[in-house]
Amino acid sequence: MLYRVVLPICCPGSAQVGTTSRYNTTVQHFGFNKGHCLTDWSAVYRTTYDDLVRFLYRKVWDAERAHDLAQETFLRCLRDRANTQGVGNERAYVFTIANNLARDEARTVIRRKKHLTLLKSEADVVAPPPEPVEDIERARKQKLVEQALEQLSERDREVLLLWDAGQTYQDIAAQTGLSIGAIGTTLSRARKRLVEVYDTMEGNQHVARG
Amino acid sequence: MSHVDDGELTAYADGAYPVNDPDALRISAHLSACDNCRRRVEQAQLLRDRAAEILGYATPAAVTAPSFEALQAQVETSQAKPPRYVNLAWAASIMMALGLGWFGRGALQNPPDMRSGSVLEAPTVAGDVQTEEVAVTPPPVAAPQISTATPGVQVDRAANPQMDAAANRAQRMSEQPLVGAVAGSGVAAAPPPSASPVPAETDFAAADAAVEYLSAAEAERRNITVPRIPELPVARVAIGAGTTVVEQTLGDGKVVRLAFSENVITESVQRREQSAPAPARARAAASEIAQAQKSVVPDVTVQVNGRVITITGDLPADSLRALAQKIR
Repeated sequence: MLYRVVLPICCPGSAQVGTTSRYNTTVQHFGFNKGHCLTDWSAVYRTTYDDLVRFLYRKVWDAERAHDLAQETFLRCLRDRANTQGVGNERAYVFTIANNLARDEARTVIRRKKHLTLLKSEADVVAPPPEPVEDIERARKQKLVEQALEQLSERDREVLLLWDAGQTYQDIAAQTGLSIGAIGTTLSRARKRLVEVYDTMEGNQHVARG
Repeated sequence: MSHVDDGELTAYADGAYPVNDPDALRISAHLSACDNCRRRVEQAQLLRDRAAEILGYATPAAVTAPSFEALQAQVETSQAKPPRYVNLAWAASIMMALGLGWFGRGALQNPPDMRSGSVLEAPTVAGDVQTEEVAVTPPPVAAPQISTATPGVQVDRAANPQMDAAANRAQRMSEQPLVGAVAGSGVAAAPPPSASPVPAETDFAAADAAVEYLSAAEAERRNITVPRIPELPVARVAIGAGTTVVEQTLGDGKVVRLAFSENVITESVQRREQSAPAPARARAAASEIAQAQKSVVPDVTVQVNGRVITITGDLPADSLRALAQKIR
């Protein structure tokens, strides 16, 4: 898959075309930028890791798995360091890798769930130990957020989560190819839909609880 | 007055425009004059904050991230190992060499012998499937050995013991049990479960009496039509009494042989057969039978235009089957 990554910040005037297979990304430099801006991956790691984990969490809904994927993302970036030196927009690059990993993770989970459904037999269910009330409330809200996000289109959800993960409009533009105005339109629509769906479900639950 | 669209408004509210950006300046100028759009900016900011609050409910529990140095060490460790595919490639190469050696050992030990009038059973190799099996009744004629001798030259094997060794060397490709009696030799062979056509000879080191070798041009000149694989060049045609072998070469130098039983006897073959010494024929048959018991490489038998043809060659069975389908 070919994508075009625009670098307005660090290395103006250069453009990159990345050829992405599912996990191997080779970045080719065009223009005068090659080798001029070396990537300090330790700095990228420090400034991006937490946001990346939050982004991935909203994708896989498993904290441990989100951390695993975040580490896997940086491992891939470091392994491919020779090709990614001076890539410019490292955040966008990292989030793109992470997005692909999360997408594959989601597909694997779906296949695994189907497999388990076929194999599942009736077993005695042991009641879990009671949780603190705060944990129950947090889990409930998290479930509502998860369901509300599912009501968004894939593009709207992706842009919303990228923005919430601290990506700038320029980062999002680099990853999605959208213009600044188009990102604004997408975010406006996604936010409205998220708030609307969440508030409706929250209201329904309150009514149900009486 | 045209208002600011939602997308630009949201981008402006989010602070997405760089300082002194022309669009930002335009929007700012409009907002200073339009109360409606100013209210819309405030609503966009409230919506942004509410969405952020909702998404905040879905935040992972804090986990200590590994240090960057630990991550780097992990990368260096994984890069120190050879890629898995290299190990797999080595394993595949070794397996292929062992497999070729296994299948090729029969050819090295038992070069096939060209006999006319003999019925030979196609070998059963694990995984090999015969495309066709045809029963052929052998004529009571001793089986001559195809040799590399110049056509028309008669070689007395009795007088030249080296010919026996050469005959053995010649039987490298495939050997099959001899079915039916070979007249004049008094040698009996164990009948196979099913009969099949004559296999091809692989080498022609030993001179023998009743075989004539023709080049492709010579065969064409004599109007001798033989079945062949159209895409491959014909190296030569060996005609013995009752058996014909067409030798064709592949692009990589390997040779495939198409053998079929037929009464294609040229005058010179008939003369030489009549003059061949009986002991030589008996020795040839006995040697052939002894070799025939050993395991062989696969060959494939097909029927084309009423002829039962056996194709042999130093190729996997699947390749032989594919070539057999092309015989015309």
